[in-house]
Amino acid sequence: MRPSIAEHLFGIGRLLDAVAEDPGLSEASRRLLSDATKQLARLAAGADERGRFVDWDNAATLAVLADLDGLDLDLDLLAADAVARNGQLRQMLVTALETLGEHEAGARAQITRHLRHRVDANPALNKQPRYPSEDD
Amino acid sequence: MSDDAAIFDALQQFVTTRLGPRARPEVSNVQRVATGRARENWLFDLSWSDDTGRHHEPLIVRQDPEGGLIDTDRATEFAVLQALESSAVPAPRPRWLDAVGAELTKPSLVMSRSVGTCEYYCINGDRPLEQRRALARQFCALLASVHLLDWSSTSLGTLFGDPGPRAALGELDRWEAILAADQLEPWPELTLAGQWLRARAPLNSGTVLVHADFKPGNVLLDDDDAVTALLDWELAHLGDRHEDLGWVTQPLRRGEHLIDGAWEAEHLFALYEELTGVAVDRVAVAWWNIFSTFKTAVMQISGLRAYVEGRIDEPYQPSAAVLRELLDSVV
Repeated sequence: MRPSIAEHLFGIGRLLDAVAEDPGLSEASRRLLSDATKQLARLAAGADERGRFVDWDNAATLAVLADLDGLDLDLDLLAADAVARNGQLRQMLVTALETLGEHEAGARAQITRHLRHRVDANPALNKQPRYPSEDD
Repeated sequence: MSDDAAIFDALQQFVTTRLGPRARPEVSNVQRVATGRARENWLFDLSWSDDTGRHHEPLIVRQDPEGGLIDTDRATEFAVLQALESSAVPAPRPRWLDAVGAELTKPSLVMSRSVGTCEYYCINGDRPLEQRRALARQFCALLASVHLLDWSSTSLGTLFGDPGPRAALGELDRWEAILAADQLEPWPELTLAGQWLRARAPLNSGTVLVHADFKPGNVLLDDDDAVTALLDWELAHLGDRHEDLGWVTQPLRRGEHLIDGAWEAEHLFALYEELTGVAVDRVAVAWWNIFSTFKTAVMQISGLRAYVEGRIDEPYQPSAAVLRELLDSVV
C-alpha cells in the first residue's frame, strides 16, 4: 500500500520544512516546528518496521510463556489485534514474574533474555533494529 | 494578555501583599528562562524600601509546568531550602511560597538568584584536564557538605522522618508507587528490576540529607569556577548517602561526573571518605547504581504519561540505553 505510513510521514515532514523556511516565523515558533519535525522523523524511521516488530514480539513472548512451568495463563483470551495482544502478553510476563518470585533463576533468566532481545529489536528505540539470530 | 505581562502583574501584586504598599515594592526585568525539565523559571528584580533605605534583590520564581517528568511538592522544597538557610550548603535563599498557585496561577517558589551558570558537561568539556579535575573535586566536596549537614538540628527530621535502616526499600517503594500510578502499559522490564532490587536492598547505616538529583547541571558556577549555589532540591529527602553516590557514579551519567582515567569512581570515593570520615560501601553503591537506572526509567514513564495527556511536548519513553543497562545489570 503506497504511500506507506513512513512515506506519508516523511511527506508531512517536507511540508513542515517548507514552513520553517518562512523568514517571518518567530523564534519560539521555529523551535516548536523543529521539535515537531524531529519527532516526525523519528516516528517515520520506525513506522514501517512496527508491524513486523509487534508480530515478532508476540510470537517470542508466547514462546517464553509457553516454556514456563506451573503458570495458569489463559492464552485463549488473547485479542485478535496484534498491538492489543502485545499489551496482554506483556501483562502476562508481569504476572509470570510475580508468580515466579525471586528464586526461579532459570525462568527469570529466560524472560530477561527475551526482554533484552526486545529492546534491540524495537524500532521505536533503535535506528537499526536488530532481531536475535540463532546464535543469540 | 501575554504570559510575560500576566506574570509581571501577578508578581507585582504578590510582592506588594508580602511587603506591604509602604515598602513601595517594584518588580522589573521579568524574563522567562528555560532551565531544567521539571519547572518553568522566571527571573526578575525586586526593589523595595524600609527604614534603612532602598533595596534591590535579584530573584527567581520556579513554577510547576502543566506537566513534568515528576510531580513534586513545592511546599516541601521550600521547607528544605529554609532548613538549609543557616547551613554551609550553598543553596538559594527561599523568600516566599505560593503553594497552590492561588496568587501566581501555578504553585510557585520565590528564591534568591545567585550569580553563575550551570554546565551539564563541564567535567568533560573544553577546560584543561587539571581544571576539570579541580571541578570534579569541588563537586565531590559540595556533595560531602550536603551529607555532613546536621539535619537533626533542622526541621528536616519533622518534614521527612528518618527512614532508618530501610532507606533503600523506602525509596524503592516510592518509585514503584510512581511507576504503578503513571504506567500506561505493562513494563515487565521494570517488574524484573524492581524484584531484583527488593531482594538485595542494602541497609542504611547513617541517615543524611540526600539531594537525589546531584549533577553539574544543578550547580551554579561563577566566572572563576567557584560554586555559588546547588539548585533543584525538589527530590531531596532523608536517606542513605549511597543513594547520591550511586546516582553520580551510575554508568549512564558517567559523562557528567567522571573523567576517563583521571577521575574515576574510586577517586571520588577516596576524596569523599577523606572529607566525611565515612567509609563508602562499594556493594551498596552498586545497588544504588542500578536503582538510579530504575528511577530514570520510571521518570521517563511518567514523562510518557505527561506527553500522552498533553501536558508536555516531548514524547518521553524509556530509552534503549536505560532498558539495556537495567536488564544487563539484573541478569
